Amino acid sequence: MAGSHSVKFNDKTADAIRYVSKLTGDTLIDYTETTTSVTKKYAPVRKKRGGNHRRSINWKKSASNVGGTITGTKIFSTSNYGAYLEFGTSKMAARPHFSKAIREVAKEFQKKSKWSK
Amino acid sequence: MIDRTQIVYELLTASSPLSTAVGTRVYSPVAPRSWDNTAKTIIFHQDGGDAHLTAAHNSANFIFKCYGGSNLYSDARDVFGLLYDRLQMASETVTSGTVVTARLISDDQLEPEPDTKYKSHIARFQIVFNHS
Repeated sequence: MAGSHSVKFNDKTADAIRYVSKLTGDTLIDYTETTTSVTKKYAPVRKKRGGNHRRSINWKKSASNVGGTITGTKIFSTSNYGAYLEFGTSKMAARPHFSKAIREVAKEFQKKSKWSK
Repeated sequence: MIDRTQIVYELLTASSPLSTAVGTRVYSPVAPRSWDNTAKTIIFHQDGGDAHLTAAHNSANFIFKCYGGSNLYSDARDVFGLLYDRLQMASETVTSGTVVTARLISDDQLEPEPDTKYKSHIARFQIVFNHS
């Protein structure tokens, strides 16, 4: 008996990539915003007229894919002395606030992740 | 509880090309008041740490600032080179404990310090210790 089969492939790969990409980008932004906010919380502030460094902490997009989804972010300060506060100098002890925030938020996001144990 | 800072100090001051260069000028977390960057020096501090759940290990990140004893950045970078040779993949027991391994995470040139104008090279290492 003669017959024929027709197979139609309903390719949804591009949709899936777009969905995962958006999800990853949204999570990255959420992570970066949270980390920026926690960094500000830990940033050292001088008692008198302090807060310049804390106010200068911000984040920006540093990389994106062809679809425009953010794939990289950067947290920074524009106070010009953030590195000296973070790492200290030969005469001034370090006051780590960037690294402390990154560790804390990374752990929090790891716990929230569906795939983490 | 082991004293990780003390272990690192002992490791860096034990006989090696690094200790020939810096001697006992290995300070944590800051240099003494009288220090004036006229000799090669390392200043370091711990930045975070954790313990392994099952293995008898714990690890910590350490920030090392290398000073060349001059106003030349290249001298500071030379000290970093010696530090790298001493720490990278180090596995050694000193009086206060055992370093299982160490690896460089990142390193960079620092802008001259705003208060002293000293130039330094900064490095972050992850160091794994034995619990006891």
